[in-house]
Amino acid sequence: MTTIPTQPIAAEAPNRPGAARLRLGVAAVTLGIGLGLIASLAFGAVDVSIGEVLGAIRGTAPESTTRIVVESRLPRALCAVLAGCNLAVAGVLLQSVTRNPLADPGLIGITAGAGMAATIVLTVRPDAAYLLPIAAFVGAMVSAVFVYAVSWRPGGGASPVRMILAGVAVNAILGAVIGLLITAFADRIPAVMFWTTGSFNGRGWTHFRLMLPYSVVGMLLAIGLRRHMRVLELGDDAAATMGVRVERTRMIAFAAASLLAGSAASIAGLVGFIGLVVPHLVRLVLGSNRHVLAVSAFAGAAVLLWSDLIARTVLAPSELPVGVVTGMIGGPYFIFLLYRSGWLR
Amino acid sequence: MTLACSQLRVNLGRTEILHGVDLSIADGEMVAIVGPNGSGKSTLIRTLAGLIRPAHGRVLIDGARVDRLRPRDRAESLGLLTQSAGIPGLTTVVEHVGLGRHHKRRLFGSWKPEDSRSTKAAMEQCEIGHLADRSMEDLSGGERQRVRLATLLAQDPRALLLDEPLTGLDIEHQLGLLHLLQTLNRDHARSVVCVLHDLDLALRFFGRVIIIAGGRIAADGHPSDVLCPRIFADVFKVDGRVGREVGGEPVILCRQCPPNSPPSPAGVPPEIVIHADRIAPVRRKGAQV
Repeated sequence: MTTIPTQPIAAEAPNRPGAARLRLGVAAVTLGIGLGLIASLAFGAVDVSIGEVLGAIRGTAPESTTRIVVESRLPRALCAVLAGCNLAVAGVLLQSVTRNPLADPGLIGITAGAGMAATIVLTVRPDAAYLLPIAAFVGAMVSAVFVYAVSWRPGGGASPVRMILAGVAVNAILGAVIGLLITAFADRIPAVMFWTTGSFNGRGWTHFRLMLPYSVVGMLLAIGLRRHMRVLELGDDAAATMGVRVERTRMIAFAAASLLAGSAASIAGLVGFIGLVVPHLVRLVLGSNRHVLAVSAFAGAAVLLWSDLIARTVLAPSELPVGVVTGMIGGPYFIFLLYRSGWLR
Repeated sequence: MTLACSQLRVNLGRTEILHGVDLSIADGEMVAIVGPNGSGKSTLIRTLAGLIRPAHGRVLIDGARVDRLRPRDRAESLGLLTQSAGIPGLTTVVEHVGLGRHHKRRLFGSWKPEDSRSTKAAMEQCEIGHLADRSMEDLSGGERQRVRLATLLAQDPRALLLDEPLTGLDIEHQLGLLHLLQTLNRDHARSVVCVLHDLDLALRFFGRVIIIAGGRIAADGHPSDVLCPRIFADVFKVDGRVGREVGGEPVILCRQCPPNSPPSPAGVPPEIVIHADRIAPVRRKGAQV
């Protein structure tokens, strides 16, 4: 080729771009989680001072304060952190694996499975509410397996387009079943509505421990896949000749996203916005696809933590569903970000 | 590295695209695959790359079935520049080229100085150093194609398979890319298999031309052996010839056609004339142009 004057290429170039924006993003989410945790432990129906919060954690505060902080608010806050983390990472995985920026656990039927199972429990067996987390998790997994099986073809695997179409179809079917159950058990609509818009009300250490193992497995799979997913964005043919097992990578990513989203839905109910929007929000801040997985995990945690805090304090002692907060605050803020970055201009 | 297939039959859906292709590409060969649209060129190169499982026959790399190689080993053996590569969002040029090193890295392995050196060298070879920090989404089609080629070079496979790599490139960069392939073939012992549409460039740069028509190999050999009026007429449906102007008269050089066979009706100029002065030098012993 002809000689074109070239700028020197830094040896570390693939790790270089956007370092300042990455630092900004990491600082913002770290601060968001730190301040969010302190505020979550301090504020509520009964306000507790920072000193009392620290005393409760050290075990030197009065028993009543310790019970509020350590037995009630801390596990609830950690559930929000873990669920936010799970939903955001599931969104990153699904957007990558389907090569569709609109993909999230809601689009491909995972949360609809959880929603239907929970609706069955809440309407048919309202006395067995303790079954909700397990039922929702099983529902999400069954739905995910069904979507993957429907979108799979011998020799061709599960294509991104078929995954989305199968997810949309499953959403429609499960939505119809949920509608049918709500119609048949109209007196139980409030409980169903509260659950399906998401809430951390009454979540404790049991729920946190229930969600933790699935979250750890899902996160480890996501971390292991992160580089494969980036190559997969070049297309199946290119990825396959660059050393990626395309079908296996896609299946593991789908399974990881299902574990993460299913376990989050089993504890928090159906919280929208996080899985879809947080990854985009992080990309807007970072200006790059690098580190999106890690930063999205922490950003999702921060967003859901603050959303839960707002949900339980803004109308205290009553509570708003957390999904209402994520939608009402996050949606307009996301539109603002899109406008400011030029995507909507 | 030898790439070979025998009696290769490939179906796409219910349609058989390749009808029994026999082929052997020796180490260090530079091969152009040409043919009309829909003749099966891309299907052949994708099958050679192990992306399509043949209905019959098998593709072998040094005697090993390509579809049974571990992905990392396959990436070491061959790399493919596809027609349909995606453009990852929010990815800079240097990040894209760095993806070519994927197969060299372990699951939780870090980026090594060797990876940086290969990435840098590939970018310099394709003259895209000045684009390093540009987003892929902001590049022209030709620039993206050069970035994809650089990614392939960063992968550093022993055989380069390229499916219409000249698409979107201006003439300067078309020639530049082909010269680069020649250099890689000659100085770095890389085998090159390239699907092309430009017969003139196929003649100039490749020592072997395989002509595909209707899912079969219609001709295979040195350009001057295979590009002749019969092939032009039968395969490409045009009136063409490979010749040289001698005293104002075209002289047919094709060795397969009778010396005096008219390439076109008397008095009617041919639609395609490929000038034999530019035919790639014959590399086989004893052969002449």
